[in-house]
Amino acid sequence: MSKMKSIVNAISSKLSISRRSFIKATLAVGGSSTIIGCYKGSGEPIFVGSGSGLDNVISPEDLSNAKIYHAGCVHNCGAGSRCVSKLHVVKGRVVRVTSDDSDRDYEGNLRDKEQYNDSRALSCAKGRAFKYKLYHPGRLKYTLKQTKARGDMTGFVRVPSEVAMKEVATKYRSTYEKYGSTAIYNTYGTATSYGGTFSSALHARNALTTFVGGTRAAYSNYSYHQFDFANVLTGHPAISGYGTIGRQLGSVAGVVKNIVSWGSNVLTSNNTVAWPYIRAIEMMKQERDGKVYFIGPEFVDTGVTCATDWVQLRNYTDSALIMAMFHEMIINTVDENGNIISNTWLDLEYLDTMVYGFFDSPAYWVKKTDGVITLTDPNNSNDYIKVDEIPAGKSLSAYVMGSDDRLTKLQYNVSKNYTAKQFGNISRNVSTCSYPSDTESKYYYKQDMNTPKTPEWASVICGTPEQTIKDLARMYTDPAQHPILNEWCGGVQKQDNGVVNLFSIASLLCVTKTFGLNGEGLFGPWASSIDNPGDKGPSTDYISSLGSSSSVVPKYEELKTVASPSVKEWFNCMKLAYHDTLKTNGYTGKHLPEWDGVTRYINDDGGAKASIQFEYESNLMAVSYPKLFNDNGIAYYKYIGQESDTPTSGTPIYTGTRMIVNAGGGIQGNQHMNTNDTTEMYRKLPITSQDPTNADSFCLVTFDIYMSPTARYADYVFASTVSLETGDWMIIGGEVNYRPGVSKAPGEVKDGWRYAYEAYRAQAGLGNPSWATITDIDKAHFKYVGTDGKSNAYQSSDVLSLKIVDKAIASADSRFYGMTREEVFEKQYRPRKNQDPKITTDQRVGAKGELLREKLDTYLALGNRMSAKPFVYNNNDYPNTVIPGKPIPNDPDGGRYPDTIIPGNYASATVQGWGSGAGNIAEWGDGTRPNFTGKFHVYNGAMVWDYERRFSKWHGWLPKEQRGQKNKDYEGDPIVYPIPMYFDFRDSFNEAYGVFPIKDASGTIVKQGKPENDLSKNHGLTLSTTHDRYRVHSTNAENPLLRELNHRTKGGGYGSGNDWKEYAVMPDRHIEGATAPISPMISSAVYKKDMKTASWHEIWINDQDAADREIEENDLIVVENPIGAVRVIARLTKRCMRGHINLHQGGWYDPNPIDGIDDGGCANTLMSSKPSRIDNGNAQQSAYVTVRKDTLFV
Amino acid sequence: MEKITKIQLGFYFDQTRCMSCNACTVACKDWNQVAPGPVAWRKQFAYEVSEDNIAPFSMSCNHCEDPACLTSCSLGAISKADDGIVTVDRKKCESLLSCITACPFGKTMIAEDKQEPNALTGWKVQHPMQKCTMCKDRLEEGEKPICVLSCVGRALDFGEFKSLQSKYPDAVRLNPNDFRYMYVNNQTDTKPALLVKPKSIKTKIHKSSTYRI
Repeated sequence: MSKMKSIVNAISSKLSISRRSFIKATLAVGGSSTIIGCYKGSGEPIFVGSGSGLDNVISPEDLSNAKIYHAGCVHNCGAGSRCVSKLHVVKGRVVRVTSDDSDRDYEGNLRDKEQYNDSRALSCAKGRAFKYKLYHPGRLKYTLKQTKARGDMTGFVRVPSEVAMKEVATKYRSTYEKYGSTAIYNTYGTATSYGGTFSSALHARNALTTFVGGTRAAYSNYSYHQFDFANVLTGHPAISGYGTIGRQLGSVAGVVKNIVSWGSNVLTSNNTVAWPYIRAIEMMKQERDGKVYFIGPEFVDTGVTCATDWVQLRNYTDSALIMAMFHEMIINTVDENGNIISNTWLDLEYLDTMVYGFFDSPAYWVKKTDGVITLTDPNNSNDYIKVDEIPAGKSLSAYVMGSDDRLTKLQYNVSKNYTAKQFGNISRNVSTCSYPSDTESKYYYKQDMNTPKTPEWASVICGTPEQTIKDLARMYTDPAQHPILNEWCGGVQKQDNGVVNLFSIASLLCVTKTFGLNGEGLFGPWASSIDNPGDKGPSTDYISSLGSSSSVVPKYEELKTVASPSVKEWFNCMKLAYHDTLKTNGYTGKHLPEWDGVTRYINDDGGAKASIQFEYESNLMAVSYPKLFNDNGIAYYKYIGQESDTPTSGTPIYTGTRMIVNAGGGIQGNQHMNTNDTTEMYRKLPITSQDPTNADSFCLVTFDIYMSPTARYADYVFASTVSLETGDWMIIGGEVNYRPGVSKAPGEVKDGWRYAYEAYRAQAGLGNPSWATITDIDKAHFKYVGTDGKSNAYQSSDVLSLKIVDKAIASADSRFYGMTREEVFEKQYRPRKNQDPKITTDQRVGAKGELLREKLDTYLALGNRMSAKPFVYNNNDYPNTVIPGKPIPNDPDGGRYPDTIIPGNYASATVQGWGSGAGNIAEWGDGTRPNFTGKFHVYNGAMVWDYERRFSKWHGWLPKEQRGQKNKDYEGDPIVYPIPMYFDFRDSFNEAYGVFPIKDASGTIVKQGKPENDLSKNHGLTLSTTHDRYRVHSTNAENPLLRELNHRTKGGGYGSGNDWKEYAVMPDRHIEGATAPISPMISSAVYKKDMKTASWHEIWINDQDAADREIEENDLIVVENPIGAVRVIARLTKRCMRGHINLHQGGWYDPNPIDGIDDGGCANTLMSSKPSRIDNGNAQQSAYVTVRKDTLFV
Repeated sequence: MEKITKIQLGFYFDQTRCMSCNACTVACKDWNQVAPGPVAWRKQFAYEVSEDNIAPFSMSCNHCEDPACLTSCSLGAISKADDGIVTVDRKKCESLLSCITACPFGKTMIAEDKQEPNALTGWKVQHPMQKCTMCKDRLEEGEKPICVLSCVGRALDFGEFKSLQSKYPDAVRLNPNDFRYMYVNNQTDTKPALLVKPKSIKTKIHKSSTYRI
């Protein structure tokens, strides 16, 4: 018997349970409440947490004698940047949280705290309110499972976590066995032990689901979905930028003249950059009279602190503003007769040669080695790159000018630049705008297609004054006003047209050459100016040697998986998997206007409709899909059940998503679009616990600390630790730092490492599955019980973490060599030495942008454009090998390359680059895909080509017209265009809200449109959902010290709310035999209509808009649209422009059973599931709403 | 023996640096063990004086040179120490509420039952007045008030008032002419020990007149 098998047997034996008998036992547990009762103490509450810990008065003596522990802040508000937490602990309880108060840095130097780059890793309100998270009475104490119906709060019962883990493992196996790994989805989250190396719930999740099999993957993430696509559209990611604003602060302090913030609220989103950002901008204003333009609909806190100018711009209209800027640049370059005027704003020679798609142009070929151009096909594609034609009237400038024909009168000047010389005497634009135009269209944007995109035009749409648009256009084209630093924000790319918006901004930088130098370019919202304590850290080898808890690789005999859909597609995958069940159980889809139950495989889906079973071959660890069938010359993957090469010759097995294991996040409920629809769907799906061997029931497993909006709909909830309830390590600024366990977890709460151990034991205890042989169980075993293999004692996160400390102390090359543990703990969090990397001269931005700008500068310096041939830039020119999704080596921002799954090669003409488009697109390599040229693309034909074919390799089972992604709107015109342009936001909402009729595959109307849902005809307000300071997404929504800063009682005014102990507490104590009803709402105060205590989330509404609707300050109002409705309190403000309203994201969904309105003010209750244009991503900050006074709480 | 000269400790606040994070508000509650609820010894809010003047302000008790609360209290529960700090002896307070109306800034506060469920031994009323102590306990240990130490944007400072005036020549003493919006109860001149660096440059607002709402 192998060593592995003996361990499996030993564990099975120790558990005294065989797989079969275990399943019987768990069934009995699941089916009988009397058995369940055995697990409870008599009358002991099931849900309640550590409760009264904060009610006891701590004596002043105790307070002043607190023991202080050092840790990184429990919140990771930036990418690995954390503040310093000093935890004051009395009798095992955190009584205070303070932060960095050191006067000296790590090396003992006196700090200059007015220096802009001085470390200001000072905890903000979130970090300082931590004790109310630790000791919240709503903390879950026990692992729970649902025994009645999904979402029924009375159905949760307490169960030993080991038993729950066995049931979940069993459910995993039954699901895998029938549907394969495709049906199982792991999601990420941050609620539990955030950032912990060992204690994160990710380990438990992974141990459960990858020990004997796997799960499907997903592409991108909720934060950067659209950016990941937009980033590469110009062909040069260095322009769109992935760098953080933090690295540019030296330039801000020293050289930047203008900052243009496209809505960024960096001070709120990322506390650790706050001081350096404020101070650097202060220096820029004082020393250079610098200007900071905040562009957006809501004047956010960062704008209030730093902006000199608030340029009002309605949500979703960034592209209109930029198109009007292009218009202004063009008319200041070319007069209406096509003559070039003096002192042109645009560099025409540069545009002709280096910017692809600004003007119409013929097809031509460029020699890679020297840039020589020929207009005849050289028939040698290895030496030349084909630059595809920009058809007549399809260039960006043609769209911008609309019916204005001046550019058709402007010829390429053969005596001015090399490229024009090759083209000969032809017009720069062959015709005026030729994109679909229809003044009768129901799409507003098509009515505008031929309109010149003048500042006057944009002013009506954007709310931005004409003169401002003109001034901005001048600023971008006037070198005397450079450098201009641009900031993008998350919101810009979480809208329906976020990809297009970012493409517009990147195009603006291309056209005006404002990128690639210090102080220029487009930078992201994150920053890391952190408490990085120096060069030498403790060795991380020990952590590396432990590796992931889940890296045990079994020998696969069978594996079923397919292409990864979008990260946000789990809900569609569920809808398709349970289509029949949902219909039978009465799911209405009433909050999802496009749901009709007929057209389920037609809609664009981000990969959901690829989730069927395909024929495959596996070779131990790898799986391949070599079985293809040919349909009209194109090869598709063959699906299981297919009987011939006729695509419809069989019945495919739809796997979809049938089990979700959630590592403590809010995505499965609160943080995904359309909470009403998600929860309606959940409620119509039977629970798992009745029979974990049933592969067909849906199963949601979550790790959580509260009965959160997501946990409420789960089958199993594993009560988990929060940070600082166990010793652990966390990454700060790229270094691994120890953080102590300072407070005991309540009840039977465990950390992710312990749950991983239990998950491993559960899987091992079940023995080999039918499809695999576990080969490396000893490796897993040793992770948890020690590497010597002799002891069976579990090694906790505490023990493992301290071993790393001890190793650092013992290592002569460690900066902690010879210290005591206590000294190490403190020393880790000492600030680094002050630095002053103030930039005073123009330099190129380092890392990925450097070579591109260098090449451009070399080209521009040539002077004589007649001899200057265009350079060809490709991925090989990057300083390092591009590894999709991986960190960019030596990038001080910690930037990373785009995710692997971005289809197609946007980065260069010659290298495949990142993206697995080739693997997903059936037509890949047929020679029809437009090339990338190495130029700066403001026209991207490949993007459209890819869009129309995305995932098509998996779509062979569908009728031909349903393969790939449909690029036809409700009127048969394109959805995706090759240029950045303005799509009227009203069209997006009309599509999302069911204004257009739904047709089936044959074109027959199956659902009539609802013209009344066009909110632009009903005083609609556009809505944004910016961060506020008091949550990180939905984390901290329960914390009373933070709730009171954005909640109010009705009529109570700012700071009036206090529902401590009456919010997020499973109320009325779910005690066996208790008669008190359980509140179906998270806020029991709202449920009871206790108006003294009940509080609601603020919403910011323009004071004039409020007056028009007879709404006054502190009124309770209902904000609604065809998707949902929230009840919130009006905060009248001048900081929202007219027509716009702002609800900070992250409130907890809490529908009132009386009228269904969400009293938790969750922004996602108003968000449709309509995917964003181009990337099928999460257009999660797109809503159009109407507002009325509430009538329930009168 | 030479008489010890009285000093006046005070706060400094820079309106141009405050980013409305409320770290000061929460740090104050955390340090001073003030439970959740409307009573907060220090509060931050961005006041909308006008569309082009959004004025962040963080304020606690200003430990005025002529404290109106002190003179209004007939029980002698409020006193001003030689260092200028104004304190309340909660054991003497009988909740007569005179200080509540006297303080121009509303910085003498009384909690409700939910926020302060347990009266301490020696209190005469369930909820005696409470207010900022300037973290006297921290000062005695040689540490700054927690609000000052918590300020991420370095907008808050603390010290002897005259020294602060020298250190920050651009700042002005809190007064009803420049900061009317902070005088929520009355405009009595109490000589507040708060220096403010005002937001002197207004934001330029770019707003279209042809906007389609």
